[in-house]
Parts: sequence; C-alpha cells; structure tokens
Amino acid sequence: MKAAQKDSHRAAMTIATSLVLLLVLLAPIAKAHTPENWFYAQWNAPVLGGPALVQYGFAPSFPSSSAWETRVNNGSSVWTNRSAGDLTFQSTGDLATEPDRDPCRTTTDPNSVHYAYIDGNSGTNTLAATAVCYSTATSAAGQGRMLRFSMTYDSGNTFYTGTGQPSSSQVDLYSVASHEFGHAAGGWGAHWDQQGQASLCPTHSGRHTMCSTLEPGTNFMRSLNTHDAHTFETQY
Amino acid sequence: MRMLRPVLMAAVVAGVLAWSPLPRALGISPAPEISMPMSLEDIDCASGLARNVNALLTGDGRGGGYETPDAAVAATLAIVGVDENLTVDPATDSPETYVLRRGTDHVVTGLASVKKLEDGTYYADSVMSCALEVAS
Repeated sequence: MKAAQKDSHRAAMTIATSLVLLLVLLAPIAKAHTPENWFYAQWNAPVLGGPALVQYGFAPSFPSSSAWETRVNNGSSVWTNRSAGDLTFQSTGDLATEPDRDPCRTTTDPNSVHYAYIDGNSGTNTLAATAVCYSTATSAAGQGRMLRFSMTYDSGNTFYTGTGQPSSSQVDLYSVASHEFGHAAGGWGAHWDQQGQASLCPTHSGRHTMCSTLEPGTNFMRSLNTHDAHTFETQY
Repeated sequence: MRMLRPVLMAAVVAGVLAWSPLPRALGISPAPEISMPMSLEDIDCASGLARNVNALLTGDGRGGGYETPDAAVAATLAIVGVDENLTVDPATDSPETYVLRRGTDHVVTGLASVKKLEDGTYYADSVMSCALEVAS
C-alpha cells in the first residue's frame, strides 16, 4: 500500500516538474509577440474579417525560366495559409508590361516581381529589395493599410535557382524570396538584428528569415524560424 | 489531495517564473516588445500614402560605398526609381535612425535606417518616406 502511495506521489512529482518546465518555456512566447511592433501595415484580411488574397505577377524583366519563378513562388508559400489562413500570396504568372517599381506612384499597377541591376556584387551588396505602398489612414488594428508591393532582384548577383545547396559564390533565390515576402506582407520595417534581436541571426540553421543579411552559399533562411512565424501568425 | 499538492505547487511556481525575468535571463525568451522607430506615429504623410523600401544585403564586413547618409538614402530609393532631393539628419533619440526632410521648408517626410561601416562609408537598408502625391 505504501509502495503504491509512493509510486503515485512520484508520478505526481514528475507531472508537476514537467508542468513547471512547460509553462516556463511557453509563457513568454505567448505574451511577447506584439505584431504592431513589427508590422507597420497589413492587407485587409484581419480588418475585414476574411482572408486576403494578395496576387502578384512577374514583370517582363524577370527571367522567364520556370525555375526562377518557382523559387520565388516557393518563397511566397512559406507565408501563405499559416495559422488561420488569413493571408494568401498567389502568382498570376507573367505580366505583359513592366509595372512601375515605385509602388506609390501608380497604386493601380499589379503587385510585381522584377529583375534589374541594383549594385552588382561588390561593396554593400544588395541582393533584392521590396517596396510597399500603404495608406497611412490607420486600420482598425491601428496600422497602415497595404495597397501594393514591388519586389526587385539584383541582376548583378549570381542566384542559385535550385532546391539544394548553393555554392559559396551563389545567392540562394529561394531564401531571398522567403525574406522579401515577409516585407510584402507589411512587416519588418526594420529587421530582427536592427532592433536589438541580433541573437535571432546566428550563422547557422537558427538564423531567422527576417534578419537583415544573407550570406552566399547558405540556404537556411528559406523556411521561417520560430519568431518569424509567431510574429506573422499574431498579425494574420 | 496529497497527490494534488505537488501539482498545485508547480502551477504556482510556474506562474511566478513565467512573469519573472528568469526565462529571459536564461536566454529562452522570444523577441521582446520593442519600440520601433519606423512607425506611423512618427510621420504625418500629407498625401496619405507612404512607401517603405527594404533592401536585403550580404553580411557584415562589406563596404557601404556611399560617402554620406544622404547618398545612401538616395541610392536605396533609386532602386524603385524614386529621385527626390531629401535632407538626411540623424534622429536625436534613436541610433542609426535618420530623419528625412523635403524642400526648403524642411517638412519631415520620412525615416531611414542608415549604417556607418568601419571604412567610414554608409548604406541605408530601410527607408520609409511619404509619397509626394496621391497616386491614381
């Protein structure tokens, strides 16, 4: 009888210890992600209570090979249909004419993906840039309302368009695209490491997608890491 | 009841720990709340529209290549074909944040994240600026 009591007491202690560890680990995650700190604007979905479909097309300047477009689409997919599925990026394929790259100059142009020379691959090497235009009339969530984005990949770089390991001189297109669509969602006006979160940007698989830099030869920014995902999911 | 006691105690301890600085001190905290310099509250865009240009770069140790913060901001805006004569000054309360002003009356029209590298040159990886006109 005593042995049985001891066993049940031991079991209770095990449960209790596990509970402590679980709560200590999870509690700060649950309370720390405030999207308004990382998202300055949002597509309509959460405001209007329905899912947002954000379509984009490939400008004539973008390489027409399916590998290039597929890798960009892979990057958009990492943000699509997460959690409640409130935001979906969807490619409409090739565009007939080159849209304006300034998203505010002509907000009626489609969301677009471009390929143009930015700064080559020496000096501060810009790999790609995303520009968004948003209305500063605040939404119900207290943020701007997204109107349009344009995304430009630097033709001065050598991109790797496969799904394996890029060589040390190649820039992984899939990783760059994953990063750029985080901006196209209306987030990270400043990246993790630019706002005191450098610990989220180590040079190994723990590196978060929304860090400010990407090293050639690496592919670990393709998929979202813990805080990329949680922050996005609290927004959409 | 005797079995329940450790579980209840665990719940209390966990509750206290969850709100204490301990998890963060142990390095298991996620991103804390921060104050973003790039916020709508900082700028009142007369046009009602703002653009944000974010550039993804290769890692540290590369030269910025731009002699002044003004040139770095202009280069980033040029990526999307925007060419405006902006004055760029350091923000007083936030390191690496620069205030953009436009025209002779120096209307505050944007903010930029500008880095100064070891070689003394600059680059701007994030620029938010109001659109000049209401778009179509």
